[in-house]
Amino acid sequence: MKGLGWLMQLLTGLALTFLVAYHFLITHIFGSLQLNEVVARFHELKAFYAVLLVVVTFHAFNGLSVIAEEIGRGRLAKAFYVVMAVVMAYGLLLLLSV
Amino acid sequence: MRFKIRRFDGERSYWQEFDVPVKRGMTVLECLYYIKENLDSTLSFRASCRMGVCGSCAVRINGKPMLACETQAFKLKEPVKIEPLKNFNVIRDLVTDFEGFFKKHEIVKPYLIRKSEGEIRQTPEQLKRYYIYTLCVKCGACVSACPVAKNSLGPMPIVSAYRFNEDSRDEGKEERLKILSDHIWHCHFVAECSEVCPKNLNPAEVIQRLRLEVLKFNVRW
Amino acid sequence: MRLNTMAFYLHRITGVILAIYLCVHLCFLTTVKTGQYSSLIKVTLSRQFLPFDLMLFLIGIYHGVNGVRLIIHEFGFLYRHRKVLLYLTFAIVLTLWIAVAWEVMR
Repeated sequence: MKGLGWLMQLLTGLALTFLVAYHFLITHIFGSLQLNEVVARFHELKAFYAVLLVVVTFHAFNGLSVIAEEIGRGRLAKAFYVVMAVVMAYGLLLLLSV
Repeated sequence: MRFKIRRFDGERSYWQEFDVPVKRGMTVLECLYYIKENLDSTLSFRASCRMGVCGSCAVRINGKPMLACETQAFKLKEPVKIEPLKNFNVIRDLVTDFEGFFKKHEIVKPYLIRKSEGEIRQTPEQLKRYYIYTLCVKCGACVSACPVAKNSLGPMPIVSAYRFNEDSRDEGKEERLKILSDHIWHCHFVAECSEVCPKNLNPAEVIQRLRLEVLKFNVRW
Repeated sequence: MRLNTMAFYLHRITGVILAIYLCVHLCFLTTVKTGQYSSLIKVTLSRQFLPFDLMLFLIGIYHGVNGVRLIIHEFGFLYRHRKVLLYLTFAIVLTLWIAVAWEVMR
């Protein structure tokens, strides 16, 4: 189980370098931050944003969970997985409702 | 040369300075012996072989863990700061408690596990696969350098496990991989262990290779 | 030798900061639905906010590039050249950051 977590952290990390780079490019360089454009991006690239959300949420909270375990807070480490699920659900709902 | 040594008498921790007449070729260990014999006989430190094969004299010199008997005094920046190894409990001055270190080592079953009977044969090629890892002197420098060693196994036991796994005479690979499945994930590849190992064993590389093996082993089941 | 430890702690700190930023970012995006987005974006796109944005880019780029270095090593590659990769990481982070800052400030 822990080994899977380690492997997933690496794989999501690698995926994120591409996903986040693409997100940054279309948001800041090849697009603007005006509301209409933002909403348009959410509509056109629903699948991309869904994937980005799941991957980044996993990577972030799994990472925090590992740090929590290393400073000795085992319960906090487990709690982060719950937070991860909540944030993923919230983000997906937000994305689908815009 | 000026030496600043971290002293600890059971209650108080403090720095003490010594001026040691250093001749070219003297090692830090020889300087420590000079201090003990001529300046302050209460200074405590571990040492034995004086030639880098026993692993007793590992201390932090100017922040970096190394063997005192293999470090030339003239190569160091003054004042030379000598402290006990990090991530170990200090018993007195430069002497640290190695009990936990050895207990963690026992977890990986660092001995030949073999059920087959009869003569054991090993070719030179088979020996080459694991030979350098037999040179570990259990000095503790790698554990001192590792930022996560306090709550995990530390680099040394994993290198030891690798040494036995790669030994063609050993039949306990699966057992050790199972044990390591619980302990090997804490490495974050800081790779300080490889920088400080006095025997140049590259524990960081070994841990990564072993981790992939453990992963493959777990996925099979 | 200390550079390795520094890189590790930086990776941890940037990771935690980015995790916090993720939550803030999601809250921010919620305003797309609730309507305050337009007024909020005026604040965050102002001149005064630029240093924060640039810091964020540096943090993100460092975590990403160093992360890739870790991934390369943890999969077992290029171990012999770990010193080179470490220096290269810092060089790439700086270069990318300057390039990104330049682009964004135009």
